[in-house]
Amino acid sequence: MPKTALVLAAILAVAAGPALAQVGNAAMPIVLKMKRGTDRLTVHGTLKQGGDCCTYVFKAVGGQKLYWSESGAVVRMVITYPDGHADGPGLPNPLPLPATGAYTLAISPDTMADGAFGPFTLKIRIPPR
Amino acid sequence: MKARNAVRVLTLGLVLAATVAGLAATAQPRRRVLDRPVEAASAAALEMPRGIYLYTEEPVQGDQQFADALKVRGLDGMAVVLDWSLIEPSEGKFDFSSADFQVAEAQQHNLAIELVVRAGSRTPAWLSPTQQLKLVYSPHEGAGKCSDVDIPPPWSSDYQSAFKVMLNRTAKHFQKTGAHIAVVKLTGLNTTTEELRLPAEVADKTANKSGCTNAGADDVTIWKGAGYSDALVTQAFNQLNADFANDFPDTPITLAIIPHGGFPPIGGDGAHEPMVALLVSDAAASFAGRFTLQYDYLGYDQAVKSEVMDLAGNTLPVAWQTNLWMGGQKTPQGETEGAACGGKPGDKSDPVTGCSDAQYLNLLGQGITPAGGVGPNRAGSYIEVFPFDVVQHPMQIAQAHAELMAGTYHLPPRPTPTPHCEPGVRCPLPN
Repeated sequence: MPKTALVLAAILAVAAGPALAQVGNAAMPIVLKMKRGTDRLTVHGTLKQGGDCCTYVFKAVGGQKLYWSESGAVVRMVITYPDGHADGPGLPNPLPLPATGAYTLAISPDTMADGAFGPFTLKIRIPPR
Repeated sequence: MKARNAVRVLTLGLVLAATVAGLAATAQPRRRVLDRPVEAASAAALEMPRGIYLYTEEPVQGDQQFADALKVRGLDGMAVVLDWSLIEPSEGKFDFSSADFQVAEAQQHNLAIELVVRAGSRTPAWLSPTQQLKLVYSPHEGAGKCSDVDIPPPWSSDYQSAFKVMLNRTAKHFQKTGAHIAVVKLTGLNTTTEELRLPAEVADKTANKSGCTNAGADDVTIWKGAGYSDALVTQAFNQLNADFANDFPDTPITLAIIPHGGFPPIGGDGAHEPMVALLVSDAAASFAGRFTLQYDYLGYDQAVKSEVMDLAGNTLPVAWQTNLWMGGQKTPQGETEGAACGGKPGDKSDPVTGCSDAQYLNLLGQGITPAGGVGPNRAGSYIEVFPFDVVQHPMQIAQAHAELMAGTYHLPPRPTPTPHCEPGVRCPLPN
C-alpha cells in the first residue's frame, strides 16, 4: 500500500457540544469509512459530563482484525458485534472481527480513573483479510 | 528554535524516545533542564522496589482491617503515608508518631518501606496563609467528592523553603530511627493524593458542591492570577527534585503521574500532556538508574494506559496502584471501598460492582505484565494494593506476588468471538 495513501487518514472531529447532542450517541452513531486506498483512520472526540458523544459504526468482513490505539482521556471501549453481543470495556488489541457486518464501537469516559473527560484520539486500522 | 529543541530531545531518547519525539514535533520555545544522557540502571548497586505493596490512607492504631491485611502472605512492602500538615502541625514543630507507628508495623511484618509524604491539600495551614490559593478539586469534572486545596504557589520561595525543611527533617528522623527506606515517592506538586498534579477544575463543574468551602472556585483563573506558567511549575518541580536528591541520595524514587488532565491548561500550547512528559523526563534524569514511573490505576480486563508505557519507553520500570475510591464493595460500616471491576460510577442503571477473586487477579495481572511493556517495564515492578482488597483476596495477593517476582504471569486468553447469526438469517454484508 502506498505510504501516501496511509497518511491520508480520514479525520472526524467530534465535539459533544449541545449543537451536536444527537450526533454520535448510541441512537445516531457516527459512520466510519476508510478512504479508498487506506486501511486506517483517526478519530478525535471530546468526552464531557452528561454527554453521550462517541459511538461509531463501521463495517468489516469476517476474519479481519481491528488494530487500535487510544490516547488522551481514559476511556471505556465497548464493541457490539453484528450479532448483537457486546464485549468490553477492555478490548484485546488486535480485536478479531469474526463476522461480516456492522460493528458498533462505543467510547465513554472511564470514570473509575482520573482524567476520564476531555479530548481523546482513537486510531484504528483494519487491514484487508 | 524548533531544530535546537529537536536536537535536545534526541539526547533524551534513552528515556522517553517515543513520547518526547512526539513533543519535538510540536516543540515550544521552552527551556529544557535536562540535556544529559540518562545512565543505565545499575541494578547491582541498588535494589529497586518489587512486589506487592500495601497502601493505606492514614492508618491508625486499632484499625482492624489494616492489621488483618498486614498478615496476608505475599505482601512485600508497605507505604508509610504521611501528610505534611500532620507531621508539621505548626512551623518547625514535628510529630512523627504516625511515621513511627507505621514503620513499626512494617518492620514487625518484615515489609519494605515506601515513604510517601503528601502535600497539596495536606499542606499545613500555617504556611504562608496570605499567599494561599483557594483551589478546589472534584474528580471527574465535579462528579466526585469535593475537596479544598489551599496551597501557596508551589514555585514561591516560602513553599519551597518550607518543603525543603520538612523533607530534610523527615529524612533525618528516619535516619535516626534506623528505618531503611526502600523507595520514596516524589511529591510536592500534589492535589489530594501523592500523584503529580495540580488542581485544574473550572467553576461550573464545582459550583454547589458540598464538602468543600471553595466550591465554585475556578482553578484555571486562580492559577492565571498567580502567574502560573510551565516554566514556573518546572522550576518548582526541579527544586523539589533537588531536595529529594539531597535527602535521599541513594534511595529509589517513584513518581506517580496522571497522564491526562493533571495540570491546568495554561502555558505552552495549552495542553496538559506535554507538561507531564517534560516533568517525567526531568525526574528520570535527576534520578537516573533509580527512578520508577507509576500510574495509580489498574482496571479489570483493561490494558494499562498506553501513554504510561510510552512515557516509560523501554528504560523506566513501571509501578501501579489498584483503583480504590470508587468503592466496589460495602464495608460492615456501610461505607464503600475496594477495587471496582464492573459498572459505571454514578450510573444507577449500571451500578459499580466489586471484584471476584478471578477479576481481582486479572486486574493485578494487567500491571504484572503490562501491555506494551519491553525492557525493564516488560513486567511491572511493584503494585500498591489497599487493605480492603488484600483482606478480601488473600490468595490472589499471594499469587500476584509470586507471578510478579517471577515475571511469568500471563492473562488468560480471551475467547475468540465466533460469528453468530440466527439460523436462516444471513449476517449483513458490507457495502
